[in-house]
Amino acid sequence: MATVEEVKDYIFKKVESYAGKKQVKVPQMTQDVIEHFGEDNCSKKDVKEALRELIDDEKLVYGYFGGTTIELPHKEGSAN
Amino acid sequence: MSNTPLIDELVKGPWPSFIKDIKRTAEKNEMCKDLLNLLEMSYRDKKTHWKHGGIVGVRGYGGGIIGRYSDSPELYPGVSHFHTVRINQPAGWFYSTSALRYICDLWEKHGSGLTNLHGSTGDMVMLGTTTEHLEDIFTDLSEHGWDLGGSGSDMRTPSCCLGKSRCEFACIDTMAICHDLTNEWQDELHRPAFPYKFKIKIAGCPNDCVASIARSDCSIIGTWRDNIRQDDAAVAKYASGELVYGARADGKVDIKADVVDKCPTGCMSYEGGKLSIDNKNCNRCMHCINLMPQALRVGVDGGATILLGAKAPIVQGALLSSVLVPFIKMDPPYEEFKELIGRIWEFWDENGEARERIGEMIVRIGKGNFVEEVGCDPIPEMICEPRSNPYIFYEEYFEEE
Repeated sequence: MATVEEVKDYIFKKVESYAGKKQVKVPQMTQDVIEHFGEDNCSKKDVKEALRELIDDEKLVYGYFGGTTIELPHKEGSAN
Repeated sequence: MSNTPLIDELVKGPWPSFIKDIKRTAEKNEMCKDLLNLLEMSYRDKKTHWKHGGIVGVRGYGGGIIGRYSDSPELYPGVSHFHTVRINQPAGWFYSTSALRYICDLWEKHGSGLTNLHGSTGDMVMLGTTTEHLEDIFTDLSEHGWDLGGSGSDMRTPSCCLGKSRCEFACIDTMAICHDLTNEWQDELHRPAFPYKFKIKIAGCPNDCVASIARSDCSIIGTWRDNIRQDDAAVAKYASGELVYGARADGKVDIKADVVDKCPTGCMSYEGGKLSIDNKNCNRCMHCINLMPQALRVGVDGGATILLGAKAPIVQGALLSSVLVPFIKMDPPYEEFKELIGRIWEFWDENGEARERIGEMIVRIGKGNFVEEVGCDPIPEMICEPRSNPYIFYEEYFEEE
């Protein structure tokens, strides 16, 4: 079984690798994580818990660009 | 001469004007002055000067704040940030005056002072604030017992008609259901994880005063499964004109012409002063009850019809919702309904495309397939349009191949 820390680490690195290139949505990320760890080792509930911790710790933030995305915290250009 | 001649045109005439409201608020709020100037520029240029979206929000929440930035901050700095805050409205939209005063005071302190009660999903909509104010607004609201509503790819704030609090037609306790579902699905409301938005509206009876059939992905519409309650003495009073209905000039109800002949299923007859209803064939349209509310009443065995799939035109065209469950009891703790929605979300999560509403997914994969996947038995009430494909393939046919 994947631990919450392992799932968090995987999600964070994925989002980090997408930064500035691709906006990732929660359902896509959930499928990606489950595929990576395997259905027997990671459930949707595990992904939800990992995402909750990442958001609450402000390691990731929600964004909205035609649907909700998850992103690294940053100051967006429009806010300048 | 005014520096906003185009939008000034919208103040003329006897109707309410949002420009008039903004101008009045601009007398004491600088943001609103720049808002008027930006709006004038949009009318002149025939294009919007707002940018929509972004990462603004409050800690832990993915919904409730909608980022708005102007593309001309150097010209109108007062509206360079002009974010919207959605506040979860109380079920049935009942407020005390002190609650409304609190909201208005909060918004004069932290925002433009402009409000929109209510947005189409049902939330109280606070228009125009800056990023720096968001956490303070949220803290203040929380301390006073309020919460943010939904936005983005989440379950949007559930809303309902006022139901049994004031309406004799209500077959279900809409406000209790709305309150319970809002509390049950806090994660789904505040932590967006769906392919796209999901709206729930609860109407107490088939009159559907909250227009759930057109405006929500999931409509919960009160209905009954026993018979229409009938008071023959009151029917006679309507026939004689002693009881009147407001829609006709003389107030009288012609029972044959106005009621029986307009019954969509033809399940009523009126002979020799006796009104008869074949309740098995009644489709609960409410027409007769609306016309003679003192003679005919909804049944006592109340529950709800669950419909899915309505949406306004955004990515694709508009859809009306169609029946998934013709009758379900809606008594606390609503377990049967919650389990059904859980299965629906599970399937939509795995099969919905990005920005695809549930109604669009059902159209794409076919309602028959959807019904099977969410564990419902196909029944005639689910048919939402005549079939366009004349071929029928039986499963046995495939087995023989």
